[in-house]
Formats: sequence, C-alpha cells, structure tokens
Amino acid sequence: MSGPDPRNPDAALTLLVAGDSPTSVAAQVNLARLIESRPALGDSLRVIDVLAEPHHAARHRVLFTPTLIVSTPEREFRVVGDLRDTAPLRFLLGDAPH
Amino acid sequence: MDDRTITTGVTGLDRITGGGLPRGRVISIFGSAGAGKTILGLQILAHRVKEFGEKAVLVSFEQTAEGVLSDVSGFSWGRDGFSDDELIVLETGVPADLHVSGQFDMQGLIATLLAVTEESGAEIVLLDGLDALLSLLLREEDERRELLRLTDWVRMQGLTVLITAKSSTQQERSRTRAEILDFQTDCVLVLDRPRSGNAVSRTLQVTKYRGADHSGQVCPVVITGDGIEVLAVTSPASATTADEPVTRSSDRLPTGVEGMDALLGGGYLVGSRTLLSGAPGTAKSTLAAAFSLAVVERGGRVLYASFDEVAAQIELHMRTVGYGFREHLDSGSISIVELSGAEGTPEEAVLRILRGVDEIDATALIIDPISAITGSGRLFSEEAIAYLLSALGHRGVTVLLTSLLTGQASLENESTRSQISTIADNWIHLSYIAAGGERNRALTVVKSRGSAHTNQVRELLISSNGIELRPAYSADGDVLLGSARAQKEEADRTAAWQRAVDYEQEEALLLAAVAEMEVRATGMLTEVELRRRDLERLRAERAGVLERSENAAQARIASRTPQDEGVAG
Repeated sequence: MSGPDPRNPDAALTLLVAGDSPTSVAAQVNLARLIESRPALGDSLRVIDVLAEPHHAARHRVLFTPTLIVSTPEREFRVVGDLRDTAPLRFLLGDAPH
Repeated sequence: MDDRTITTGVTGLDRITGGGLPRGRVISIFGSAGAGKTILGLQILAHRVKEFGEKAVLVSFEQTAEGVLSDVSGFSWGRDGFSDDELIVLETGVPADLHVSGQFDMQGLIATLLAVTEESGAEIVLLDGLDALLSLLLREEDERRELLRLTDWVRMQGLTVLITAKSSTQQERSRTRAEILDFQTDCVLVLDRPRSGNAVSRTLQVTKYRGADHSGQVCPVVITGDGIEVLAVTSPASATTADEPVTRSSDRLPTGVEGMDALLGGGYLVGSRTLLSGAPGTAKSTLAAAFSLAVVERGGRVLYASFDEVAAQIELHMRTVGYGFREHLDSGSISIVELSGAEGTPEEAVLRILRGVDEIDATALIIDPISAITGSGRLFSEEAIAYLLSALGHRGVTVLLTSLLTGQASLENESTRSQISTIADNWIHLSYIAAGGERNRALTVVKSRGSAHTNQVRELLISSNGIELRPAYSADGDVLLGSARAQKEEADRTAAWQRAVDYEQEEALLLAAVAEMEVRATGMLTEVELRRRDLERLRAERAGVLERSENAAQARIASRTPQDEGVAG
C-alpha cells in the first residue's frame, strides 16, 4: 500500500467494462499503462464487468462502456472510451501534460 | 386481443394497428419537437400500468425524468403521478462532465436495463429521446451497430421497448439515424404537425408494422386532457356505412313542428341524421330549436353545438320566435357549446362536441351549422365528421345538422362541401320562393330514409308562436279561399310556386353534387401529397439499405484479407 497521490489524495477509480469486448480490453490495458507511471492510482482502482454485475451499471448510471469514473472528494468526472488517448485523463488527474 | 400484441389504451391507435403494438418488440415513435412523442409513450406506459398492473421503466435521455413527469401531470392519467414500484424512473441525465477518449459502446445501457427489469419484473420500457444518446456516439456506423445490439437484446429478452426520437430532415446525421431506427425496429409510428390554413393539425401514421396488417393512413390526432386521441376512421367514405350500429331503433323523436312529423313518417328516427340545408334566414336554426324543445319535453337532453354564435344570441333569437331555451339551459337539459369556425381544427371541434354529448348524456345533438367544418377547406374535415357521426351512431344520438347552402355566386365560400347529403338519413331543404309577388319560405323533404314521403313541399311560416307548416298547394282542386276566383288565383299561384320549388330543389341537388365532387378533388390532392411523402421516405429508405449492403459487402471483403487479426487486439 503506497501513500496517497500528492495531487489527488483520495482519487478513486472505477472502470466499468462490458466483458471482454475489444474496447473493454483496450481500456484496461491503457489504464494499466497509465497506472504504471502513477502506482498510487492502482490501489483505488476497481474494475466492474457490467455484463456480470449489471446492477452496477444502473447504480452508477453508466450507459456507455467502457466508462472510467474518477472520484475525488471535490468532484467526480467520467471518461468514456477505450482510453487510447490518456492525455485528457492525465490532465484531469492534475498531471502536467508531457 | 392475443398475447402477441399489447393494447395502448389509445383507442384509435389500437384500431389502426389491428389490436395494439407488437409485444416483446421494439417500437419507434418519430416526430418533430412538440409532436407529442413523449406524451404518447408515457400514455401507453400509464395504460399498461394502471389497467394491467404491469411494471414499466422510463429512461429519459433528453429531459430530466422529473421534467418529463411534470409535463404529463396535466393529463387525467398522469395527474396522480406514478408510484415508484409501478413506474421505475431512471435518472440517466447524460453527465455534463463527460470526456471521451476513444471507442465505446452502449452495453452500459443494456446492463442497466437488464438490472432494472430483472429486479422489478418490468416488461415495458420507454427510452425517451434516444437520439440524444445516440448522437454522443462518434460515428454513424457506431450508431448502427449499437442500435442493432440494443434491438437484438430487447427481442431476446422479450421486452417491449418504445423508443422516441426526433425526426429531423435538417441534418444528414439525424436523417440517417431515423433511417437506421426505422430499419431496425419492428413497428414505426410517425407523429407530425401539418399546417392547413391558420390551423395546425396533429397526425399519427403507422408507417411500419412488421408481420401484421395495419392501416397506414394518416390519422388526425387531438391532445386533450385525456392525452392523445387518434381519430381513426376505417376510411372517410366507408366509415359512416361500415360503422352503422347493427340494430337501429324504430322509435322516433318528434320534430317539434306540427305537421312535420307526418312528413317524415312520424318524426326523426332515433339515432338518425338529418341535414337541414338552406340559405341564411330560411329558419334552419329555428327548426333545430323546435326539435330541441320537443326532445326536452319528452325528458331528453340536447347538446346544441353552435359555430360562431354565442349562447346568449341563440337564446335571444329563439325567444323571439317563441322557443324559450332559458329554463332548459338552467336545468341543464339543453347545453350549448360555443365553437369557432376560424380557430382550431375540425378534429378538435368534433372532440369537443363528443365530449359535450357524453357530459350530459345527450339524446340529441344539433350542429349549427355543420358547414362551418365542411366548408372550412381544412385538412381532415371529412375524417373528423365521419368520426363524429360514427361515434354518435354508436351512442344512438339523434343528430340534426344545419348547413348553409347558398346561391351559385357564393358557392366557393359556403356550401355543403361534403358527402353529408349522402350520409344523412333525412335531407330537408329550406328555401325562399318568390311567386305571385310574394316571398315565402318553403320546406322540401328531399330525402327521407325509411319513409316514402320524399319530395314533399310545404310552406313554412314563422310567427312569435314558432313554426307552422302549410300545404303548398290545394290538392285536387280543393277550395282554399272559398270562392271560385280565389281558387283560380290560388291554383295559378301554387302552380308557379311549385315550379319555383322544383327549380330550387333541382338547384340544391346540383349545388350539393358540385360541392361533393370538389371535396373529392381536394381529397385526392391531399392523398397525392401524402403518397408523395411516402414515396420520398421509401426512396430514402432504399438508398439507406443499398448503402448498408454496400458497406456490409465491403466489410466482408475486408475481413477476408490476410492482415486481419480478429477483434481481441
């Protein structure tokens, strides 16, 4: 268990995917790559398969898959898609653009 | 009703679809903004919930669900709201803070629907404003794929899903979207708001119903406090004969005018329709008033539908000729509904009339004059009247219709522009006859179904005691005035009078025939316009299908190429 991310102390990630559809697999791969550079995020990551647990889709009001929900105490934002472009996500997480 | 269809509770819609919408299928409701898509969708849900105890799900993509529900709270079926376990409302609200990175699909929606329907046992779902969600997808082919995914899943689950979507021809993408929806759903309802004159009608058309017979005619629609009502008549021309009640009463209602009952074989048959035609001032309304009072005196109730004349005017006018309405208006046995010929549509007018009839459970109905509708030149005037007469027929209401039938000069403006004369059981024509230096009113029974008494002519006199009918001429040389000279004079006068009457009657018949054909001509033009629209839609659809099969063919070719690595990458 590593310490909280200095910029997003309590950022929690929830990734909702649909089975092993191409976009769902791609999103997990791309997110894993991002987490490599920011290990702290990995601790709060939760992956939910809406095909196996559909009530999570209803509860989170997720209509599109994959959807990444990023919650911090201040706000919540969502990124839909296979996360092939991580720049917006990095930006939203408070990373300086590379 | 079989278990392959669900009734919608919208009587006219159930009728034109031959019993309702396909159960376990996907139904699209298209229309421009404000055409009533959401109202129709929710009204159907309300019907399923309230009448059958089914559970329903509402997912609103465009408005907040709160907003949707408050919009329908004005309708009788929406007033009491819905309990949480009969209507499950999903607050989807596409979040404002939504960022896109790469490809995505709509499995989240499917999972949500699965979770909610399995938990609640709901069988019917309304996806309101699905186009708003689809428009978030990046590419047209994504929309196509995701819709296919959704519709396939729905059919597999056996859910009945109503999808509302804006149909806009403005944008290429939304046109294609409508086309895809049209192609992939099992039943398509199109709502529209065509303009005619300064009135805007509402219409509903079932443009597609996979695997079932349906009527594709464009039906007028009216939105009232009870929601959407579809005025479905099998066809304007046949409606009145096809919908004839099976048994007709042989009871008769008095005409209220001495000597007139005999002319009609004993009075107006209960449930019959009588047309009173004539130029202005020929006592059409007065005859209607006499009849109204006669009905009331027998314990009946009368609805007097007046176009462009307010109740006070009618009452005053009737009083001057000895027909007092006041006490009956006060007691409620006569009720006057004031209508405007210039405002509103024919279908709105007939529904107001029908509502009035039901409110007082009327024995008889006067429409004064029906030519305010038939001569309006508005869209659906014939359909509206056919609908009204058919509904009245089922209720056994006796109907008196007055109609302005004026000289040739004004034929363009006001005439019996309809098939009323053929629909009516009795046709009584009123005219001014100028003969022997006098100008008198004459009453001719042009047609009287179920009695042999046609083509009888009477002189009609109006005094402060009401209407009086007199024989128009002396039969078999009967002495009228008591002296030979007077008899001769009278004979001459009545001969001239009779000729004038014959002439007048002939003219009325011709006027009606001309007017009738004009209506048919107008109807044909409308029909041409509608068919033209159908044609355009068909062509657009064909273009879409060709394009899709072209795309599919290319995709197949592409998939055969060796560099393909499957989808799991």
